[in-house]
Amino acid sequence: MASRRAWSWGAAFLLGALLWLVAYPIILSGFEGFTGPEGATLAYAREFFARPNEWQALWGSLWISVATVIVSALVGVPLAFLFGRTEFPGRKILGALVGLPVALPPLVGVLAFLFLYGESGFAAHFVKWITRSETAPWRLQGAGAILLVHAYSMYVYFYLLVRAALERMDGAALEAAASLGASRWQVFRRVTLPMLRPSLLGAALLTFTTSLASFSAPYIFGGGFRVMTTQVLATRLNGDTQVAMVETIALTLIALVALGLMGAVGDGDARGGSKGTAPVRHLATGKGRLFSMIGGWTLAVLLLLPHATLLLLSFVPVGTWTTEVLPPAYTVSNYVELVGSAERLRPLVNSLWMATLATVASLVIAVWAGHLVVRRQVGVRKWIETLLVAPWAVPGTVFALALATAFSVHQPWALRVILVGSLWILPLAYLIRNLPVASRPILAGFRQLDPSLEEAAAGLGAARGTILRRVTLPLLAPALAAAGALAFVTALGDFVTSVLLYTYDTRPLSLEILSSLRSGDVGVASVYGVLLMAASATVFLVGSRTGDTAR
Amino acid sequence: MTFLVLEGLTKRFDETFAVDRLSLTVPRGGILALLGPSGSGKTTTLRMLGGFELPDGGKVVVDGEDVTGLAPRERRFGMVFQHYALFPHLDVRGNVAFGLEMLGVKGPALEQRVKEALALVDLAGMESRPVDRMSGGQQQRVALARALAPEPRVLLLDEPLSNLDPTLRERTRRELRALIRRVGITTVFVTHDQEDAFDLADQVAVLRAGRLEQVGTPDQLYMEPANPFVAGFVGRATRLDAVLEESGPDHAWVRIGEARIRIPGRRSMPAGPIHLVTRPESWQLAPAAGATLRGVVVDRRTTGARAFLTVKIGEGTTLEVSAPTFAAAEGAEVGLVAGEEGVHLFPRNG
Repeated sequence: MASRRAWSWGAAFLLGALLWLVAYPIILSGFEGFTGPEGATLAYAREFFARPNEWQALWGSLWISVATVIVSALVGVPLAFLFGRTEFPGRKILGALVGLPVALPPLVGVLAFLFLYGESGFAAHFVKWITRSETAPWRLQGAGAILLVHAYSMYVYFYLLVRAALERMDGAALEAAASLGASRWQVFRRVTLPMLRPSLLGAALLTFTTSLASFSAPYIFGGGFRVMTTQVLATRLNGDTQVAMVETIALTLIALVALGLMGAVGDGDARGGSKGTAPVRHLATGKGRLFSMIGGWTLAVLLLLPHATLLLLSFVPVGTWTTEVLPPAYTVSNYVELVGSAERLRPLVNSLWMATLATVASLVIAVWAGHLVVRRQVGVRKWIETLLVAPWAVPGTVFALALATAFSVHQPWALRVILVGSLWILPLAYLIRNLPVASRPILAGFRQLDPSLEEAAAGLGAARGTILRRVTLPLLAPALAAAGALAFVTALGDFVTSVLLYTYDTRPLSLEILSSLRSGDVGVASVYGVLLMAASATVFLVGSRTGDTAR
Repeated sequence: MTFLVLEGLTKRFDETFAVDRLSLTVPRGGILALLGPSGSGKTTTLRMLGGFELPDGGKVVVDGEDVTGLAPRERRFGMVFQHYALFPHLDVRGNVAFGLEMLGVKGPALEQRVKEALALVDLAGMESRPVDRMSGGQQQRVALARALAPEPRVLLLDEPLSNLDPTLRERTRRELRALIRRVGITTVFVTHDQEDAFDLADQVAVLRAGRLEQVGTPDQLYMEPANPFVAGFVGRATRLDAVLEESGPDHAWVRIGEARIRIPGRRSMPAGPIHLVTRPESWQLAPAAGATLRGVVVDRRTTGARAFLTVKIGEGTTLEVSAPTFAAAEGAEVGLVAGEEGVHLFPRNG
């Protein structure tokens, strides 16, 4: 059908747009870190390395990320075995629920943890009630608190990847090992574990980069604990713009190294299972079954408690809950007020239109890129693909700062215009941040699509537009749904880029949650949290279902 | 001398019997094929032999030792899986060495035995190849080497030839037979393909719905099928409803529709309704005029020296007949005479 050309105007245009939106701001901010009033200088870099705070933040980011990987693996891998290898009543529904935290916007997770395990949260109230004590038994602050929140939302990477690998695994290979004289432990160590290696490494790196980029948890729970993401913001607010740029460069470099490692490991993933896999049978012995069931239900309840907390608190009237174990009064007025008051509704409307716009635009770009990269195999396809996933590796704080730098001056000749402070900066930021989540499923969808289907349509006389509309897009529907849903929820709940780029008129949900929280309006904050939670849960369940049928 | 015994082996899944009181014996060095259509219980039987399924009844005895309850790792059986189940994270050497390492074989002895096993399957020097870069035939030989390296007591093969394309299949079958004979290992394999079973095995057990229909040498199964199912499953056959009118020491009289035909050979069974099962080669063409059984050739497929004719002998009744290629054209009317070999009569109830 479409001729294979190394180059085309379309590819050139897309590549240019991606370079301008993804790479250019980062490069600009990089320059800024090395440019003083008298031209190029290493003064800011030297300043960065001279400050002990910076080293602390760098070290803090690194060790909290490594610790997050370890704790997440310790939670996620056993869960994957529990739900991937055993059978017990409720396994299917619980197995889906256990994956929920991954779709929860980070700020909402933080919020839920605050109300559940914070010093004035349910757990603390409960302990105070039991011990008849007046003071809070603990403070949810510092590295421990960050780690707890990280582990809660990131064990899911281990859980999902390892579980998928377990279900793909050739059951006959395990039987072959047993038949060759291996004990259960030997089978696990010599066959199962090596076959899981790519998934384990992939999950570890994904957790590491996510944790490195994590902003909400350290921002809210950090206290005196320094990590790079919050450090960047603090330095910038101090007015040390250039040092902040050096910080973003340092953070980006760490993230890029991790992404490079992930790419190297991803290549190894191709030689996963052999063909003709027999599914691993689920063990169903009496005692193990009971144990699995109890363990599965307990864990699921524990993991869903934060969600339940938010839901409960969204019905609590302002200022009525102080020292009781459970709030004494409940009302729907928080919800009613949301619909009734234009001021309250505003952030919701803002988030909705900005997320919709960003999602639609990122889907269009992703489909276009999929066509160019997979179908036309343009010469610059590697570049396009790399630019599409790059925003993933770059922490949100870094990206927001880079955009703030790039689009705060009017220099049309340098392709810089003033967008900061306008309506358009947030949708643009969301769009760029969405490119990885939108393009991955769609590129994968294109790769699974048999090109002869489009060729058949062309052979039957369909024009290019008709082929796209009648053949390509309908076949891509599951990928489009998954990509669109994920992108929409990510944009809807975004906090990290919003906090740096919002204006009062475009303030999104997450910022309103923060300000409600600061003014003690727990109920209203929870209502917004519940809305985001419901949206993300819907998306996650829909996404995992379409994922199942696609498999 | 009996080496492997299956005694009343039974396996239920929910309420249905996957394998129902199956008893078989294999002599030392013998090759047994479990032949049957899908759902006949042949794979379940093989998995019970390997220890991957626990039987609900009966036992498995090897060399006088009851291994029924033993875990796969304890019974020293070598299994080659249908899709080979090679360990994707190990190279050829790693795969073949695996079982030996489990036995505690180390150092030069290990390398020596890996080398021998690979030489046995004609893969010498391929130690460091990644298994996922090999062809299907090579993968199968790695799987064989892996199973044989620890010198198991019994070799189990699950559909050993089903993944190979037809040209490779023929050759692999010959090589496999030579290999098994050379090693002299007692072997049980599962297949749904009669040709594979006949070509490889000394003894073939025909299974249907979990039950043993007949066990015997390929010749026995073909020449003396125990029932219409075996006759139909083994080789080409046509089954007709007929009536046995009289039988004697050297021939019998059978009525098919209007025609009354003579069937030579000793047939001692009571008169009454029967299934008449015939092979294509049991019929001879005769001039239509004067023949007691007549029909019209409705289809004709040439295979070379001979052709298969489909002869319509009555409304909705056809016979498959093998004849010299140019003996009859499509549409011709022919007479048919039954021979002695390959014609089987089985009582029909009702």
